[in-house]
Amino acid sequence: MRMPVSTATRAPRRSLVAIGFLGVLVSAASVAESRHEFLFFPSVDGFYTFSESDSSVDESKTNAALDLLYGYSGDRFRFLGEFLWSTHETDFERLQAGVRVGDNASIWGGRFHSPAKFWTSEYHHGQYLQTSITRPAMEEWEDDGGSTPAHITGLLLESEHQRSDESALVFAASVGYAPIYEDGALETHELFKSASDHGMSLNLRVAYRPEFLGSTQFGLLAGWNEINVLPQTIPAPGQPDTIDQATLGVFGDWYWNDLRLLTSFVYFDNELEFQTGNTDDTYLLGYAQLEYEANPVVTLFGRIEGGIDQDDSAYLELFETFVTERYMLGARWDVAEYHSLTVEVADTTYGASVTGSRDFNEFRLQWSAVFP
Amino acid sequence: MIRRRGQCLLVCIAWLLTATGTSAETVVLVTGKACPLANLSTLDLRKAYLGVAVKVDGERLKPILMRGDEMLEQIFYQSVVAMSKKSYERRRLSLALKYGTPRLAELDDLAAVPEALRSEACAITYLWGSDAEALQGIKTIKLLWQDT
Repeated sequence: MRMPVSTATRAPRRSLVAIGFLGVLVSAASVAESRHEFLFFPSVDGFYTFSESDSSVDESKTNAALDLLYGYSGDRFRFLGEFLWSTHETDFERLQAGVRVGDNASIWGGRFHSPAKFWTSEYHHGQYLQTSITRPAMEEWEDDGGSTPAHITGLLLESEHQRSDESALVFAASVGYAPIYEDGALETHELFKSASDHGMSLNLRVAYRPEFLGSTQFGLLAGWNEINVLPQTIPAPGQPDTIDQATLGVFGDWYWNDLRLLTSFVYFDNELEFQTGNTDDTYLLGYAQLEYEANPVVTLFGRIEGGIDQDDSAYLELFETFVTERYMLGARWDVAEYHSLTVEVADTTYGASVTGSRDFNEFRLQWSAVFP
Repeated sequence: MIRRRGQCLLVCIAWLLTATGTSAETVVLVTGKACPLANLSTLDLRKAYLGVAVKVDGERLKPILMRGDEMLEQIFYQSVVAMSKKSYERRRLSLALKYGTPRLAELDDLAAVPEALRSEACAITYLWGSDAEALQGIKTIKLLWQDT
């Protein structure tokens, strides 16, 4: 069995498309540099398990990734592309074009990240910007065993309003195609491909920042996803035809001097539709990550993630490697400007199942950076 | 708070080491002479350098970062954006990652400042007061920092 890390291998032809695409953008950037942005987020991480209860878990693994980001911001028109090139996948993670509406809002069309996921909206694939190596399981990408839609194709509205007391309200809402469930994982809709199998996805995030220019924020998350299940060649027992997933949650990102707390709790209500009838499946997932900036180059952090009733969820049972509980400690050393080394140790439990979940201890080491 | 005090102390020590024997130095905000901007609030200036679109008299400000002078940069982080260099850089990267927002233009050559301020309507940047006085075609609109 593979560990809960990336599993998909995409067509290598996409690499060539991406190189060509970036070449065009680099040419464009030389004409009007100030409206364009290029960022390269490389990372290499090693993973080692010990004390596992299941010997089929990979003992060690090395992953490398390069996230390429391009942004264009004109007076009215905007564009954003994010391409991930890793040892496990090669794909356009975001490809969206937008127009400004007034001074405070933009409407985007294309493929984007679900606004109803806090961590995802904050860090996207920019590994260097997130303090920890791992992300919470409920924020995991679809092709890394994630159970909640993260990539949506459709329309996205984003707006930010400054209030008279110098606080801010931020809205993000989307409508689009939800992923489908196929071969034990969620499969996102690919741009320019048929959407006939994909159901609808609605997502909303409302954030409040007490200080308009500050980083502290908290707010609400809500989503509704119609996840269609593609039938397997050999029908699997207990596999539903369709899953309607409703989510409602809260998030917070607090800064106190050298401390930072990131947290989110989401309640899931899934209706699994079988030929023999429907099953209602509810659970709560959440995490809290505390970070302490010991000095300008060293940050210590820890995260607890888990939930209520997630261990025997009929929906989560469909995701073999979904992490249902994790206790993690780590340290990050910013070894140079825009370069960091991070270590993590964790006690991890995965696999929601009535027959029992499995657990292991893990150690991770990562180098991440951003260029230019 | 302790860290901010430490940074203030560092700036003061650096200043003492580099400017002994000269008159009291200042850091000022400058723009091109064609820009109608006469003054700018501290809050609007901070917003502009934190990536928020700021319009004054119908003109959108175009902030430019000055690089290459460590002490000038430290004064900018303390007096303009009120955050550490690390926090500021992470914020700029975060805006680029979330929305594709381009990072601000940067200059490390003082001689290039007049042309940069002329070429963009209401481009702004910060300079040592003595440098601002020596450059042609620019005007000072705000005192940002003064050695006391």
